[in-house]
Amino acid sequence: MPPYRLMMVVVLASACTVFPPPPDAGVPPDAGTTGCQLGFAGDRGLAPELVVTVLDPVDGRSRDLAENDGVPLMFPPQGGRVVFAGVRANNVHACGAEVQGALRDPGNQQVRLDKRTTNLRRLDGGWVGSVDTNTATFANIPVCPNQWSDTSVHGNSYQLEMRLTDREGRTVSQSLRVQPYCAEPANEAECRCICQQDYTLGMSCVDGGMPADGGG
Amino acid sequence: MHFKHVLAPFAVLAAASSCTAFPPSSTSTSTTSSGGPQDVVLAAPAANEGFQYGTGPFEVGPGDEVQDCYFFQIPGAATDEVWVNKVELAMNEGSHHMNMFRVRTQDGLRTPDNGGAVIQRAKNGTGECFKSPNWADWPLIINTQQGGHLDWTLPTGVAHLFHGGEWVMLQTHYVNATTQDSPLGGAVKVNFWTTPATAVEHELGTLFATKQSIRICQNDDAPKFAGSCQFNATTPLTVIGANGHFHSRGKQFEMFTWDGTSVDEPAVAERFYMSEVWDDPPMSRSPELTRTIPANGGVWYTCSYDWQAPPASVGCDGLNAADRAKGTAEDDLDCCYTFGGIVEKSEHCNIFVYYYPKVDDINCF
Repeated sequence: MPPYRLMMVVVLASACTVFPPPPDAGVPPDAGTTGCQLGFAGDRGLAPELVVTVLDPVDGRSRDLAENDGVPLMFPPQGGRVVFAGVRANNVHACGAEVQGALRDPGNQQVRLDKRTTNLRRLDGGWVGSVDTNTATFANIPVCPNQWSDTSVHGNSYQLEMRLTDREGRTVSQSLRVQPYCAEPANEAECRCICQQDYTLGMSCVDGGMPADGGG
Repeated sequence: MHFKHVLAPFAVLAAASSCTAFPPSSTSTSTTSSGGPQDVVLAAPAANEGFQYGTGPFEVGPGDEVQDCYFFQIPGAATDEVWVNKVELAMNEGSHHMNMFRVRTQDGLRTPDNGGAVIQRAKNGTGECFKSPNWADWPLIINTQQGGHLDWTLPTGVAHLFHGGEWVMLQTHYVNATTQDSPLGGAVKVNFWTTPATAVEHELGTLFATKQSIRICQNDDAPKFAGSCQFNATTPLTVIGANGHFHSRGKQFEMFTWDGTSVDEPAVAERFYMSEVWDDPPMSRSPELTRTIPANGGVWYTCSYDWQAPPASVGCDGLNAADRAKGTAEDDLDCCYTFGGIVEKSEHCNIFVYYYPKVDDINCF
């Protein structure tokens, strides 16, 4: 982690009450979410804090994102390519949190987004966040096939807009300029092909990554 | 856990099931001389009016989920344009879904002229017809989720365009287990009614979207997922058909018109589809459904769930075993239903949308 980001994380973390917090007097314990015992992370009197993360296929771990960082495009179960964008947060309730991630084309302003409720997991330092081993705790932003952006997604700049809203209504958001890239060498050619500008469904993407009309 | 280990097994189980469901206009299930039901019947169009595809009756054994893929060719020469403005469907009761796709990139599923069989059978999650990446870039033609006899005449001047010799795939999914049953076994008939090119003003397009990383767990028992998918169109479009697909933990399915740029859920007034019945979901369709999508806009959709204890035949041990097989870490096992085509063990969040004029067939994963 670059020193400036490490410093930012340390500074933010130091401002927070260490998890787990004391029992919430007067607040029903996780009513409505069976079994979620994670409670509140941090201090209810402080503003929620957010660090945006992204899952990286190289080591299967998430990393904090900074302005102009690359974000991996990954091959998900159904096909296509997605960005798994996550959160680390403090001063929020961990149960039933709403995680929203959107990738915006700065040219045409179009976005691809994913929003989901999930239980955040306790992390080192008392914060809570997305869990590397559980992609359902990340926003699963469907980026390719690229039938929405004015440019090829691989290697170009987009705006990643993350928003976290906890079950008690606290909201925190952050927007970062990022560069998506095809991150899995085994299928990079196909990735570049389906993420290319003007891709149309069914184009042949098996020959070196340059689409050819599949016809028919 | 390494991430790659999570994804590969997922792909095996992921099935883009969907099911169109037109409100049944009438049932064509007939009765035998002894009074019991028999397989659906559907008269084929006259040769100059259309054509019929169908599957023979097949058995769905107790406890089984059968998903078969059938390949057919559009009649005519390659140079022929074939315009279809009415689709008629008949399916034995108990069907979980029937989908038809245009064939594009071929990998695990291949057409007969490319080394594949006309019928490719799969059962209980095993077989190429259960592996949704096999049809990841195959445009949707039509889908249904209801048994019985249904038909849909498109608005005047709107039609599907095919070409003679084009391969299409018909996928059937029948369940004869705890959540659904198939007393008759499976059988599907599909009529395509053609119209002259001179009668067509707009080509029909389709949109298919699905959320893969869904997870409905014991300790996160009422999750909600939302996604979006837009049309790359510089002029407004008209949506004339829609249905959503999830399994028995599904509580509410919604679709909204969306401007393509906002990150806030659209207002209720923008909602054009809602289903609260997982095994008999409505298909909103023309003429009742005619909704304008703004230029460069799209569809916003949501899926809400209530976790339920799994059937005894599966149990939490069964769900956890399936989850573990996908590479999920022990700490994350929580009697979870995850994305997949097996109704008893998994969940879906898929939308099927029909619109015109076509700008492209759209898939959002």
